[in-house]
Amino acid sequence: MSIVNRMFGLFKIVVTSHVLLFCALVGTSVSANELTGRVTNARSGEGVFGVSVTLNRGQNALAGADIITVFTGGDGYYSFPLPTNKSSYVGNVLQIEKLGYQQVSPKNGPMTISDNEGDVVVDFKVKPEENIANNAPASAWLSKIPETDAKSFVRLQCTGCHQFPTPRVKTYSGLIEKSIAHLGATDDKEASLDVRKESWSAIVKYMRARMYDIFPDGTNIDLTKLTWHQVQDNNLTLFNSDDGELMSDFLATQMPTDFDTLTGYKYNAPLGVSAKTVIREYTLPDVSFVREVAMTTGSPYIWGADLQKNRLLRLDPKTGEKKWFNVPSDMPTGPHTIVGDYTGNLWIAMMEGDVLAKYTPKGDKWKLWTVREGYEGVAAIGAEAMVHDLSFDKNYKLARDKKGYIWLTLIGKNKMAGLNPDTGEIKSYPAQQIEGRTPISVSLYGTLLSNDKKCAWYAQLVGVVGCFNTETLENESIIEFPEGAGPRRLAIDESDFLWIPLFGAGQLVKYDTKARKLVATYDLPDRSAAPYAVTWDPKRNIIWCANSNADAIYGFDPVTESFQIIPLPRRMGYLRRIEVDETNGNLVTTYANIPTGSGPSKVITVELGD
Amino acid sequence: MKKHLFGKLGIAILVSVGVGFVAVNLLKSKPPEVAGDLPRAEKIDQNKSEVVSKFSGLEMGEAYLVKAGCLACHETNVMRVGPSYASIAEFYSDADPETLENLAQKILDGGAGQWGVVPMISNPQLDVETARDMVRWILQQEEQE
Repeated sequence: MSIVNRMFGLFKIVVTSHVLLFCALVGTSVSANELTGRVTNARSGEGVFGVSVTLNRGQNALAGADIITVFTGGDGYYSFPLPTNKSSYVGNVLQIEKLGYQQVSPKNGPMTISDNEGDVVVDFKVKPEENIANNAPASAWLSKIPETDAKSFVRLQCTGCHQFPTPRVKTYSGLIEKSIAHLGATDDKEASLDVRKESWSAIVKYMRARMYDIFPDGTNIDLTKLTWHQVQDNNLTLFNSDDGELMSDFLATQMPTDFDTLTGYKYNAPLGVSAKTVIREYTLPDVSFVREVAMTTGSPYIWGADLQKNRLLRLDPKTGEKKWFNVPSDMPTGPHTIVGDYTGNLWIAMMEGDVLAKYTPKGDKWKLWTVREGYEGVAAIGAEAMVHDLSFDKNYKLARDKKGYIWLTLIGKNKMAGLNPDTGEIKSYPAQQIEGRTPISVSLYGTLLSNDKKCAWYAQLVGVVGCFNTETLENESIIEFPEGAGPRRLAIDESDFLWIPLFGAGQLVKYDTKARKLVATYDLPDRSAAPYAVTWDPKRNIIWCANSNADAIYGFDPVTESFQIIPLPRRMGYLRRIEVDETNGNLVTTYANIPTGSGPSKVITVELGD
Repeated sequence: MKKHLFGKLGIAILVSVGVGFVAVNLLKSKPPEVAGDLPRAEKIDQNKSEVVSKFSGLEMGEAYLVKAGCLACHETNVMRVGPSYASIAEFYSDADPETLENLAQKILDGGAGQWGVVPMISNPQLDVETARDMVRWILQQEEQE
């Protein structure tokens, strides 16, 4: 559908063929009406580009996504791909947003759509607004703090579970200042700093305990079974006592204390959206926790791993239908990382019980393998091996080496484990050891197989990327980053370039795996974006960054070495990984703040319209 | 570190209402309030069913406390980041209904006060009735030998 058609629609001149086409598509005889409109600058009257217009149809939406977002084109016009009957949107709420702008007309923000004859037209007027405190992403609050390794480290640790700062963190900062004022210590710098340090230090300890919230219903990794000493034990927690000191120092001295005003934050790269871009959000039940979704060849469904409820989600993006499939285990498993393959299976790494599972939708068949490795019998994080990630290839599909082994990262033990699903054979080897670091605080994270299958490239959050040679079974080509840089989920392209997202440092690294040398390091448009994973898009030749902290997806073009921004229509839009739907090129992802319920729980698809 | 900053500051002003007062029953008589975007009853039902399914072995008030993450800072007998439940119960054993209602509100809003300068985190995800359930349970706790 062209922009011209949209504009014609606005003036209620309906192109007949257009209507017939849509009637045929939706199989209904109801006449087609568009939901459309224009966003203009209240002062100049000119159209405003790149405004997101979000239609919330409520969870009882007739079909498809319950929340749909489109964007205005260069002329300010938008149009929804909803030419079914009006009952699918009349009475629902329409909301617009653009960073740096404020809606002035209609006055009261979100609009309830009322019916009229023909097309439904909803126009908005906006004006530039300097104070973006109300619609800025979490990352924006960190933008004025100088870039240091300590800042990277705090981003790495805090944003590892949830956006930072969350509304609650902002509230807490206010409570600290209130406490200082109550003490009469506002003008006493030393005393104020003491209170801030002591308070943030309390939060670090608190977070060591709150980490346990990630585990599933019925979990055996259970805070209620642990002593306080065990919870704070360096051997069993992701950040040790030195890390804790560094973090509370940084938070006490660097964090903003005023969260009412925020100016000067910009995306720092052009928007990668157009009037043809459509973002669809599928709301999931509050009690579920689908941290990750994947697609598998030959299946039109989006598959999600529900960590909380020990089950898989099958979402039909066309109808919005959700079906759930329980993991057949007497023990809780906590489905976490999910990857498809070329024959229609799903492979799922579990947070609990050291399990890797294969699910075959055809015939509803499961197979589970247990990779028990040095279990310490304590109900604590770090006691189990924890199968975290599994090897995939350049297309983000499961990858096996020449002997048939899938390579797994065991985050609890800092080990690479090979599993041959044909024979059931499992073997494990230490990943790069880091002096002064316990295995869990090294945090062995993402892995993938090189195109020649010789290297299982892995990332350790402590700041290392390395190749585990699947033939010699040794670690080689160790790449060291500053502590806090936080390499996370890697990607490899068809030219054997490895793409490394530095979650803490907010950078993207290009590494030549053939020459074994670092090619370039690119600063992200917002270095507090927290790129959790990168995905190589073979059709567009774009690297997609799934950001945890910027409420935006970044696309990086390796040829022009430039970024584009896909803004998400959601605050607390914590992303972890993006899959490119091989059938239509849509980006598929999900929101994933820890713990369950602390942020939006939705599956998202982005139809770029490019 | 300036140690004197972190002692008990005694900010809360408590009004005793006499011996034999049972805080729990008075708390129960408070009128319901609307919280969040869900009808209150529905929100409480949702909370309850989830808490029951996840923490079937625990009392409701205690289950709420675990689910809300309170255990990360508090337990019955031992001081973690914040005071033990037993010491809170002892401190407020003679407190009047208003003070106790304020305690429920304190769980929602967070903040420092009676127990030092380190503020408690806010809990905007809870409704006031759940917070009252928590206070009821906390005030029944006793120091164990």
